Amino acid sequence: MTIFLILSFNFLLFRVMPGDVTRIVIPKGADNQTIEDLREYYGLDDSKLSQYFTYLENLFFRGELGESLTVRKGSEVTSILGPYVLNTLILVGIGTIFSIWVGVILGSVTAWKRGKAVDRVGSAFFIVFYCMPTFLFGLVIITLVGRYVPEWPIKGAFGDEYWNLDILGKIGDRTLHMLLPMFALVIETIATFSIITRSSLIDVLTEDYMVTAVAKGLKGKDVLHDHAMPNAMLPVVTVIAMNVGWVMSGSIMIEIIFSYPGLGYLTWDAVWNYDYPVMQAIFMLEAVAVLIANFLADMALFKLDPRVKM
Amino acid sequence: MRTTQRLLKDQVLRTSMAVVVALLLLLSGLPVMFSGDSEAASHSTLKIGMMEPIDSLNPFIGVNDNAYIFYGLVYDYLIAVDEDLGMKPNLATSWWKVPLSDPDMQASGKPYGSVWEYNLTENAVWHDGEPFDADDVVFTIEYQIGVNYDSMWAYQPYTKFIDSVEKKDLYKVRIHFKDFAGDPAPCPFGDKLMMPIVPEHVWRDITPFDAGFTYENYWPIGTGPFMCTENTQDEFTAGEQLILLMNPDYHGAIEYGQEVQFERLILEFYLEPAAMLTDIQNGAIDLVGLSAPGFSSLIDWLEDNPTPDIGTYAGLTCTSFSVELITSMDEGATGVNPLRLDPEVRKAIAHSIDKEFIKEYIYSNYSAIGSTILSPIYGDLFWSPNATEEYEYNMTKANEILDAAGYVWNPSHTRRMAGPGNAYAVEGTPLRLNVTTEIELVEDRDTVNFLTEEWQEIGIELAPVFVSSAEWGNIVYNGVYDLAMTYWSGDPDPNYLLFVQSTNAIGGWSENQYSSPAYDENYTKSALELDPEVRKGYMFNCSKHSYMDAAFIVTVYPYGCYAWRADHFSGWGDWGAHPGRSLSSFWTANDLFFDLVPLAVKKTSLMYVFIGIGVVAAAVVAVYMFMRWRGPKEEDVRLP
Amino acid sequence: MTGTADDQLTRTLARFILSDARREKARLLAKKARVIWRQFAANRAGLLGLCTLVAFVVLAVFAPWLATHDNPSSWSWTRVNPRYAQPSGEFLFGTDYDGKDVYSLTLYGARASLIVGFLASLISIVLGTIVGLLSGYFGKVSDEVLMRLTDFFLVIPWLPLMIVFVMLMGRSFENVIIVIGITSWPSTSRIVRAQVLSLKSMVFIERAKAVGAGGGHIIAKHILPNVFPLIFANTILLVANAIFSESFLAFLGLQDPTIISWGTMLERAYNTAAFTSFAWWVIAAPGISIVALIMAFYLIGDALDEILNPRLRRR
Repeated sequence: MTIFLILSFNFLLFRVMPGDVTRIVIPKGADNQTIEDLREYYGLDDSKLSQYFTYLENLFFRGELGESLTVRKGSEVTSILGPYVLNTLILVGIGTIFSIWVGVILGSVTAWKRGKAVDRVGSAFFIVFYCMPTFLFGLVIITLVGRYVPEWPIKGAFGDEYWNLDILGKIGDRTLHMLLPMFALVIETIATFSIITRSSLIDVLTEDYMVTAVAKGLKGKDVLHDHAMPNAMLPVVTVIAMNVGWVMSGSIMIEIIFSYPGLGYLTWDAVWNYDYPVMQAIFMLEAVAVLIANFLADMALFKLDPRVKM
Repeated sequence: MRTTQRLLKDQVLRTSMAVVVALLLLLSGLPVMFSGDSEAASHSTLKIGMMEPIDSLNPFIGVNDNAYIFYGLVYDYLIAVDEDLGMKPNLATSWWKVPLSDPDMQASGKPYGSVWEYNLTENAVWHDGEPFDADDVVFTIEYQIGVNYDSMWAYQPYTKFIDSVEKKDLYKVRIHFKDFAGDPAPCPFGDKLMMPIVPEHVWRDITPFDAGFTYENYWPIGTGPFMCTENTQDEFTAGEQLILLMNPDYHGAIEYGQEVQFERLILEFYLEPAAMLTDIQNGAIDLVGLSAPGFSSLIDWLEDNPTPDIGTYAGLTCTSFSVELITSMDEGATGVNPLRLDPEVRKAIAHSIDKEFIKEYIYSNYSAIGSTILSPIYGDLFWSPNATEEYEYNMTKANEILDAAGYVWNPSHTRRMAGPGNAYAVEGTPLRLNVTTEIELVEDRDTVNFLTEEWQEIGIELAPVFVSSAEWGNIVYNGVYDLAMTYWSGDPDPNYLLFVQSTNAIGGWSENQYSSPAYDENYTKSALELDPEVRKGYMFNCSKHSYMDAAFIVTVYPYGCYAWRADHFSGWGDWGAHPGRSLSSFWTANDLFFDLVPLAVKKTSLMYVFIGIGVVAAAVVAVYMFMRWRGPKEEDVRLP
Repeated sequence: MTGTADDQLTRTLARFILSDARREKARLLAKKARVIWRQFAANRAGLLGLCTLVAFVVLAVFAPWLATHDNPSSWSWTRVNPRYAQPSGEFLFGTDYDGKDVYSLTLYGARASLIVGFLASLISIVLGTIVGLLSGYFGKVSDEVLMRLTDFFLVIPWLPLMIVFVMLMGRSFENVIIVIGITSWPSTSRIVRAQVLSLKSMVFIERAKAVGAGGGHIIAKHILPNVFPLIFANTILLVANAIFSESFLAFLGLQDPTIISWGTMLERAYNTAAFTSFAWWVIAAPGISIVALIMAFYLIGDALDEILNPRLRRR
């Protein structure tokens, strides 16, 4: 249901975009006959409602998302999306997992040592990076690395030899190209997750039952892992799920700055060129990704807390 | 309860370990890659950095400059452009106007120059192994004329003048030209038909409509010096780079000794100018075209770090690239300010553009001051105004012109408005003009902002409308604007650039509906005149009319700014003396690509290995530290 | 527009002050505020944030007097000043590619950032509160419809959505504010709705209903005052987010380039190869300002959150 509504919103959103698509397809030189032919081809003279039904029909019965209008003229959107989805999946997927992992560890360490030097320094760093716009950080990194480590690749998802490499080489090549954008991307999410984990854990640690647990003589490590963490993880999971959309937004900036061809890069390309079939497809994919993330979060919550009903 | 939590903890731990292992595995892939890298170093590769991915592999669809560069590498034209911008044989080994003594000419009674004959090479082979012959040329042209003309819009400035094409024998064709009315007429640019020749056996099954609008052409097959591969489709959709291989069977090598001396040519697409600039500085790419600020940044950097390894060139582009402020001349347009149609207003505007400032500051001196849309690259066809004709930068004069035309200041002396009896608008209409500008074009944006500030002095309120290029086309081609910033670039024959300013272009290529009978008369003559000197006279008249009407005010001719790695290749040549070597000379068989000789490059892949090892080590140490840090100390930590 | 809003404010204030009951109420409120202030002042991080914010506000308001160059975005400076001059006595933060004084530009840029931050979050808070109240209080169909709408905004990542909206509406300062406002309200509406739902079943609301109070009255008198502290801290964070969004939109070229803001300054620096020219001052001045201002809001929001909602999770 939600998906259906999102599809409809998508359709509406891009149909109200200003401008005559045919003028965008052919920037110069088209005469009136050519424009008419094109309008007919793209079905632009049909009513909006019938365009909408054609759109749904193509999507559900044929799995088609239409043809790209401008960026890669004439190509099926479904055939364009593949490599971009893969690239973003790698960047955002690994990035998210990595930042959850590191964020939770850093958050719990600082929470555990609340008020000590480790916590103060750590928290200060979290706040600075949390407030640092991702694109700014990315630009600083790319400039510094380009200047001082000239051999390090600063653009793209893989190098020129990529197509000639074996599978291991491909993985290595991708890793090498991914490290910088990944670093720029995760630094903010790590900070976010650390802050959440820290404050959530501190709340749990100050609860009465925790104090009791310690009074009963439980060891620090056991207290942390057996009692505090599971309870503290509940809000953390919720926030992480809500953050998937945020991470995707962050990946747009990173992909643009590192010329990393992922969905963000494609969005950017498509928006500037009014390629609305591509934009519709991307928005749909992103919405689905966020929904899946929420679903996974619900599952995780269910596992963590038996009281939560599915 | 306890067991589930134990389980959970184990899971968390196990996942963590899995992530670490996965990361280490990934990192351990690095050395493998480096061995691959050094192996690949035996390939000799020319890498060209570009800011914008090509928009289509189909030569009948793509329109950006990089797409044209790509088509020029893969496809051949009948006739190519040499390093001095003269014409040189390519698929056509020789060509001439069929003399009137020819029996066919006598039979048809067509005027001299209306039929051109081309002898074709017998050595060309399509990249897929099929032989090339006259049928391909006939097909390519017939594909785009007659009933197919509307669908095949890409080369209309040429096909508009082509009446028919005739195969004389397997390696000889004749092209019959016509005028605007469709009657046989001489064509002065039969040797400058800048369109790629495509193979009949690939394209004959594709309808012209598909070819012009939707066909992807994922594996372009041409006869050019470079070939696409089966990976081209993936590379194109991925949008990062296109890898072309040297064509070992290139016909130019046999006929003209034009042999490519490196194995691969890679087009690298960037989204980020800083990354591209860094890569040319570091030698990750071999040749690059830069924006004016990027180029001046590189020049500054070279001043601080002088190196013979990087060569640079900035000069007029071979495509006569010009930037202009145009006025919408469409009298029927609604919702715009009619005062723009007043020639006196346009004259005042022309006098209040400080082209010197634009050239010096906005383009960092990497441009030349403009007059008409034919730039000095056309040599003696370039027209420039004399002292009496010139609209020199003079605000006082501009104010005088506006005063004389009855434009009065408003009481607060901030803006002028139409005075009584204005022929174009009712009294009191404010002199407020919008100017539609593509936001992506930084120099245009700056120019407009600069003019907005400057024109306060003459009482014209300029209202910038910043839009994306796509939207710009929409606004401008629908005529709903007062002024707009635009640019033009053309082909070796000036006909195209003159055509777009003529009445013939309205409803098609015309951006501002400019229409002047005097201009049209001269243009029509120039398009059909064979004598170069007489034709030049007509062209000069065209340029002069266009300049004086001030509907196209050319601000500057921006330079093409290039940098290359002299340590990776030799044979770059002198681009200043031979502008046709520049990347902007994209009409196939650019001499540059045949003169470049790869030099032995010391690869620094060892550096990578060290970095890779360093990263792995750092990761391991970090993980270890964490484990230790959290380990023993936790026992004695009291709860906060 | 601002004039009428001001008038209304004055009138409301006057009505507040004139009535005795209100005076008593105001006294209580002031007392409460004092308590909160004392708590806030004890929070060093929050205080630091507040000081930073006040400093920026002062800089923004007095920019014309503090600036060393009048009308710093004027092209006339280009003819006079050197390009990329290092920071010096004459140019405190150096000059940019166009020879414009970075220090003066940064001062003026603070205005744009603060205006965007406050106005956009005002839009977002009003929208979010209305939607949250309507769907929470009236429930049923309106809840269903409004929550689906909220879902759409929550599910599509906020940045692409903003980009598309700006493209749709055109680049202008006002549009950027509006777009940031209309894409950031869902979190507020969620919080408000949850709070309204829990308040609705509380005794004092039931009692008010029993006495015959109308929906409008209950919302204005009983629900809003209880919702307000909850969304207040969230609002502060929204301001930070709005400032960040503006800078990013501007950086992507989606802001009116004639506006002086830190985002447009960064965009300019980027387009004029300041990053590769290593003209660090051109980047550092707006960059650090953005980070500092966002951090100020974050610290204030965090401190307020701790004071106002001691037992409630942020977000």
